[in-house]
Amino acid sequence: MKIIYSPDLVSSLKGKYLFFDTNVFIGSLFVPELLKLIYTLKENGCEFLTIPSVLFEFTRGTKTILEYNQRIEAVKSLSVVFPIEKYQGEFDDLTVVLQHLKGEMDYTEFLLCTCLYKFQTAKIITENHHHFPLDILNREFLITVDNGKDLRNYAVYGFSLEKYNKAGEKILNASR
Amino acid sequence: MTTADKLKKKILKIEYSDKIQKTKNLPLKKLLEVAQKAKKTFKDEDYLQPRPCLQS
Repeated sequence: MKIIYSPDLVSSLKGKYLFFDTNVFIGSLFVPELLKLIYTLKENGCEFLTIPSVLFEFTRGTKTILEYNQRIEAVKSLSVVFPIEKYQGEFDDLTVVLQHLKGEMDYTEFLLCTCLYKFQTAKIITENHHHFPLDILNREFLITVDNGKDLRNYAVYGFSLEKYNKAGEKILNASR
Repeated sequence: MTTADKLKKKILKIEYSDKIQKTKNLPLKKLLEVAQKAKKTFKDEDYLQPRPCLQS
């Protein structure tokens, strides 16, 4: 397997919070090169987080306590779980904007977006590119895995306050 | 001991932390070992799906 990414990736994420989506945890189990990159990012001062709904998705389908524990151990070995839903009351404005932009997004994606809104210098890493709206986010880095059969693309997204303000203004204007 | 207590005793505790502190990196060898064990709980299709929303 080969992994390709920008030479600026590691230095750009130094000192940043990086929130993991479910597919990144799964990818890190199947692609050792991705896990090695994650290790390098952490060695270079990037802090990893995730959220409870990602944990729920990641443990979906486990039939025994052993299986459940092995998956939890994989999450715990990489990241801290941030209870974003405790702060939900802070993001009503974002909810309106996201419902307008991507009404079909699932709850985990929504919560990951709220993490970027709360920590505006934080980033998300995901393989799901359809439901993270570029109307308020920037796709900052691509990480491509060539597994010999096909190409898998992970991306790092960051929040854009400028884009968010534009999207919000549009909704406000339409409501006048 | 209740059933809930018995279950809680056996499952790994998740710590939810809203104070984000710098955490120590585990050695790569240990990370690979943990990943290898967790990988066995998945089917290859779980990774091969473009959006791995696992079916129960």
